Amino acid sequence: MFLHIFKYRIITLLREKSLVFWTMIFPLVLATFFSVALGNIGKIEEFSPISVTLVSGEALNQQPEFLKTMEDLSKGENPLFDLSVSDERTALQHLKDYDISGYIIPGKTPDLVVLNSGLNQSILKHFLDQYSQNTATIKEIVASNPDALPALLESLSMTASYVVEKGVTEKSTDPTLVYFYALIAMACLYGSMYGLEEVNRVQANLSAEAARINIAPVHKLKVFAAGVIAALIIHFSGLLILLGYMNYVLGVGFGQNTGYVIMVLFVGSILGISMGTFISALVKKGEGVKIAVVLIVSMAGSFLAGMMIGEVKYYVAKHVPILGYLNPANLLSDSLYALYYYDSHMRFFLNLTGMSLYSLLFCSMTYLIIRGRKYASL
Amino acid sequence: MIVKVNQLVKRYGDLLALDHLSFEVKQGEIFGLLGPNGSGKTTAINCILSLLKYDKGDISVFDKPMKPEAYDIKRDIGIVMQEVAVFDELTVHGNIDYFCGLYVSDKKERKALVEEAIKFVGLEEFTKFYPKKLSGGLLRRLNIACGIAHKPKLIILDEPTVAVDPQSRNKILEGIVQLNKQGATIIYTSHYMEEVEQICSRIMILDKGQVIATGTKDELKGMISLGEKITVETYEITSHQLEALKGLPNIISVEDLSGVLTIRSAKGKNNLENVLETLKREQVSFGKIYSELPTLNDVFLEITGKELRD
Repeated sequence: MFLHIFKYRIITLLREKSLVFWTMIFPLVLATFFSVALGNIGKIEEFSPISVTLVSGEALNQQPEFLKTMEDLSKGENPLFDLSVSDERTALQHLKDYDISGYIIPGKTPDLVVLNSGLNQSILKHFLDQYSQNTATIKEIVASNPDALPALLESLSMTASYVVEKGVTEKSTDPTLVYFYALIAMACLYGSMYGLEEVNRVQANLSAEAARINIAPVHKLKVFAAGVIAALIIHFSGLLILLGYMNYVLGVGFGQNTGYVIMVLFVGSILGISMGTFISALVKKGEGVKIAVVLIVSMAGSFLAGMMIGEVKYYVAKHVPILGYLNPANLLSDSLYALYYYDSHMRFFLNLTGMSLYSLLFCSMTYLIIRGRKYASL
Repeated sequence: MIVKVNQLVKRYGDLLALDHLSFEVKQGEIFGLLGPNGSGKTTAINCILSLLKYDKGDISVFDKPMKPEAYDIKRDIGIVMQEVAVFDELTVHGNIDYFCGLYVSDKKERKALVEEAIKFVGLEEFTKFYPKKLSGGLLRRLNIACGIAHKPKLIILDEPTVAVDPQSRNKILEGIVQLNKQGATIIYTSHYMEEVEQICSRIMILDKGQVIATGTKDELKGMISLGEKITVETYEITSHQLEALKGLPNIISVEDLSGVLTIRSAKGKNNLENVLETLKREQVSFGKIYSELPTLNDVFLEITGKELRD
């Protein structure tokens, strides 16, 4: 009997288009958008070589060391310049077409021609100032005190950094992971839709199908249990697909944390479903009202957990810490943040315990509400 | 006794939905529960099925007290609800198999029962269809198949023909009679008196949660004074002519509604003949005249003072 109900529950849940969309398709679509949007953040920070033209002619021929310096800075893994050499007329045309940031007319004091001001133009100017200053210094030293030249060259080639970069933890900190963790947390909470559906399917005062089930010679909690297990399997599978898609298709690395993330997915799926069953059992209104309540609770919880604006999470933690501990959505997202920020798993498991306790509470309350088998009205 | 309801009281707040309702359903009957919308038919059914809490009274089914956990009783009950209760995500076959599976665990036995039910309601060509693709009539037939596939001894049909085309309605009514012939006891609720008259062996008329009358259709009709209703379509009639008709023996009332005369007469011989003679004598021109025996609506009207269709 149990397997019969379970089999048909799996079939019906998989054929419920809106459920499948919101719990499976929508998170995948959102993950894809995140990947596209967040992928550009890294690209913006990448440095692009500055396009610059050296004007050819007698002046350049007389300064081969300048040409050599420019060519050296245009080679290698991270070149500073994208160098070209042409006559002044062509260079001017390239400048007007915005193909280059500026062009340099070599001479005793090189001239830099730019069309507007900006970062690239400032770098070019700084480079030319530095070059002119160093050249003048070297010439001066050679003329007045040639013995000091080796020491000068050594000091020019020596660079020192007085700042040491040190992370909060020894983990690599990819800031985009936070958004994907938030997405996973949201997808877990969407399981409440399944929970809502399961209660509707066994409460005779909520649907005609449920009334028919209540008339059959089978305990409605058996039907409910079969439905919840079917929902858990489908929801958890959907979350695994989401994780796999993020990992293998979008290239979101979860590193050593994948196992722990799967653990969060499982407990989070139970939390989401049990929260939905509790809300559905508690709210004695129509399905539309119940869906609205589920969405409001999920979205409000997610907002306070910082899933939309990261600062809210820190504000709540600082000013109303109790709210953070009582908010199931916060426990869910915080367990993922804990994985991300901390080397120790203590906070992670504390959050996981909180989520499990909440699930237990939701399940118990749901049981107490729906165990009644006669209704005051239908 | 298949069903025994004793002094059942059900309130919805201040509204008394069932007022000390008592009745019995005997084995092999097609027991009709007739009453206008809101008379308490569905409430009574839901109480019998242990879905609804009630304030007072006793209900027994198959001579055992009916409770939500009385699975041995429930196993032999089939319900066809007023609202179509099927899953949109399952096919016709899937729906029947699912609900039958709540009663019959054995796969082989269930397979045969499901096929028999599909054949019984004439849905052989639609087994792979989803409910949304079915017409209203076919959907009602699926609803019936889901309720009877496990071959119950007691079948309760709550307004199974609402919003159904005449062809499907006839098919459904024929099916109910056939199920009864196969040995099932039927409780049939409806506010369509013609259906109840057509198939029910015994009828209980309900109004405002109270039993108005119970009996066979002839017994019910025998309870009222009306013996015949004569309708005459006249072209013109004067007050003098109307008075002449009212003065005839056995006449209870004469109503003139835009040229259509409704003459109600008590039981007695020659009522139609007397009316015809009077119309001739008074030189009343008329187009059509016909006589009807009293219906259950007349029974309801005479007892409650209002139409059953209200």
